[in-house]
Amino acid sequence: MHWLLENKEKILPILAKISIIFWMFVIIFVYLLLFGPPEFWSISERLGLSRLFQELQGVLQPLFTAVYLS
Amino acid sequence: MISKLLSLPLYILTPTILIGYCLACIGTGLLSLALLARFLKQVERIPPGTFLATSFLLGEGFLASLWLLLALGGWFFPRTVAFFTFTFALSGLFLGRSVFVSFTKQLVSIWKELRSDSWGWQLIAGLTVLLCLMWFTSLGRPLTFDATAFYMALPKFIAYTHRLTPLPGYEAFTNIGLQAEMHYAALMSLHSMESAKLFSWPTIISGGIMLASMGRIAGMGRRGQWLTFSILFSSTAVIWLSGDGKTDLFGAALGLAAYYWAFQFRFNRTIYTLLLIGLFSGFAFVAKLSNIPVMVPGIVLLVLWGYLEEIKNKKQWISFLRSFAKDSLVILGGLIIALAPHLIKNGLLFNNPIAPWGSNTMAGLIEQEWYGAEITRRIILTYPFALIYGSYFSQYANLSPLFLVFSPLAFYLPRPRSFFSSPLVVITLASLAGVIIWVILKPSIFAPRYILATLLLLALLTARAAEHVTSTEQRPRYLTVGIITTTVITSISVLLYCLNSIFFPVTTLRYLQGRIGECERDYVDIYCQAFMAINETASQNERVYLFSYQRYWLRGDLLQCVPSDTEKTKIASLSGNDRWLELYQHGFNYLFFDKYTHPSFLEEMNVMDPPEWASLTPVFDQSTVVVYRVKFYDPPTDINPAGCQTYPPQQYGGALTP
Repeated sequence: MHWLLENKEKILPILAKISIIFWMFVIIFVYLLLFGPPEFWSISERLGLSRLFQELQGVLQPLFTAVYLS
Repeated sequence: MISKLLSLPLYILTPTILIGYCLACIGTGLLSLALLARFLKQVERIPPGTFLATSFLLGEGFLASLWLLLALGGWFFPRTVAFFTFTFALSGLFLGRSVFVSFTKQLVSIWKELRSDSWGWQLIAGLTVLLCLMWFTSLGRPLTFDATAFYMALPKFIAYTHRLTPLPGYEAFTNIGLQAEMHYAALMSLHSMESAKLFSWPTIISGGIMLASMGRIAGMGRRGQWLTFSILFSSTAVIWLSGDGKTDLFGAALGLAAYYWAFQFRFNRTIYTLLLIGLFSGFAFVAKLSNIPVMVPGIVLLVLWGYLEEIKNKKQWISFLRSFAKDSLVILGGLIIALAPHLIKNGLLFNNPIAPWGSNTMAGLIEQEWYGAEITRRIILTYPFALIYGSYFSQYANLSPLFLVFSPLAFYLPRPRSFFSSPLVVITLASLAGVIIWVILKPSIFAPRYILATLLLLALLTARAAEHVTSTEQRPRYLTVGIITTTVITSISVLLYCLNSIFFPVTTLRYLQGRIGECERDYVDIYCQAFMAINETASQNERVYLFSYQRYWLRGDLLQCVPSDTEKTKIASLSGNDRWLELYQHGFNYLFFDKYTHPSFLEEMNVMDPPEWASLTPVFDQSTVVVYRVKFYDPPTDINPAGCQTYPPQQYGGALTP
């Protein structure tokens, strides 16, 4: 990435920007799926996405959960 | 006059005692710094906020040491505590008057800078301050399980007895560092259990200031510092520790102060800095033993970084080694001063100054294993995602998602002229070294709070990277919009998530107005009500046998008469009538069954059909808690039941009696 800054002066490539923005929102979205407040779920319900989100949550949660001595 | 002051409404008393006590910490710190400065004639100028945070945390460390020594001597009387607190608070006001003025100017300048910034940054700053202020409403939060078992029970025990002895039932565990517990005890002694609950708040704010100050050294501007605070206060691993009585934030804040001064060493190579590194490291180790393996490599690396020029030049190696050895001795001196009260405590109480090392009963604390190989492997492979998304056993919340959100922005940071000349690179390496060592040493102990100071250092790289992008990005500024949007979403979602699980504004208001009591506040715990029922019926110095870990709400005299570790082991090894006879011989008058944590004991004791010489009267029976009063009539033994000796012999105050 450094050559972009050094050789192309201050121009940040659009592709890199889009990838990073995509990364940013994916990270936040996963966080909301796992630790989202009730408001997140009521908004997703209004948008008709709560079922899909719950299924996604069901897939993600076991990856980051374990009980003592398991 | 004192009794009038103490009978003030809670909404006046709590902030008054909390602010007064914070001033006392600042005063103690300023006195220590003044002593060092006079002795060494070396005080470098640092920003007033950083100076105040340093004074507060240094004072916190020294004050805890003073309380510890007083309590060991049996002189932990409310008057003594009040005298020292008042004196140090006055000293703080006097010695710190010019610093307070400078600090106010600094705040005004920050406010002016913020007003001239864009509305997006104003929103980030506003939400961060709101998240920080909401901490006060964790006063309405019920105490956590660990706190009512030990972390708040021991301070109550110390405040009641005016001395430090091992907490009955947790004798061996009392050998841990008692940095936070001594402050809780002092605040309880000043009749403000509420201030004790809230004391982690100013502590972590000071820790946050130290972190943001490190950001300044690493080249961060004001926006980056706001992002650092956003990351700190949107980390549930930090705010989940508010108002619950746990003590982990003390180790984190003191650890950050140690890192700050080690980081400063390159720019401020004085004995004064070295002593502060030693002192803060020592206090951080006492506050959280897990800081030892994690912080030492980072601190050593930062101090070595201070000698970078000498290290680069082979001709100067001998003089470098000589200076390094000399400076290490100064750090060691500071470390010994900070550790000494803790070592004395363990030497006097356990005949083992370095306990829990070398203590058979505490081997389990050091050699913990939380998971098997498969889960441990999964945790290691999913670092750092597990730190953000994990819900593992005893993980106790997560780091802010902003750590990950901003991480790819680090590629946009300009390449430093030399890798090791960059403060940001070095502080990040110090953090990574600590985390890697923890993963190697304790792979299955996955709890951010154990290594919080070290983990939080990583916020500097991410916040600095985000700040750099926002200040250099050309139109269209997608990344800047992304940074502001994700920070705002994170702050709002954490705020909403914590509402009524950590932040209880309505309950806090009602509690401060005196409209609800401690038991109604701690509604999730049936234990409070059960212990209240015992407190109301039990005579002075009666004995309650606890088939439970909880004890905090017990009356002061009863708290001293619960079974010891030895008694518990012996009684648990017996069965049938022998167990009842042992209970009689040890003088127990109440049986407290916690069916949630000790499910088998109620059946084992066969309370429905006790021996004919024992009679049980139900005192409390709700949900998972059952309490009986037990009376013995002519049991088959000649041994008279043992009594329970308590301190002080007379009834104390009453204010501490729940």
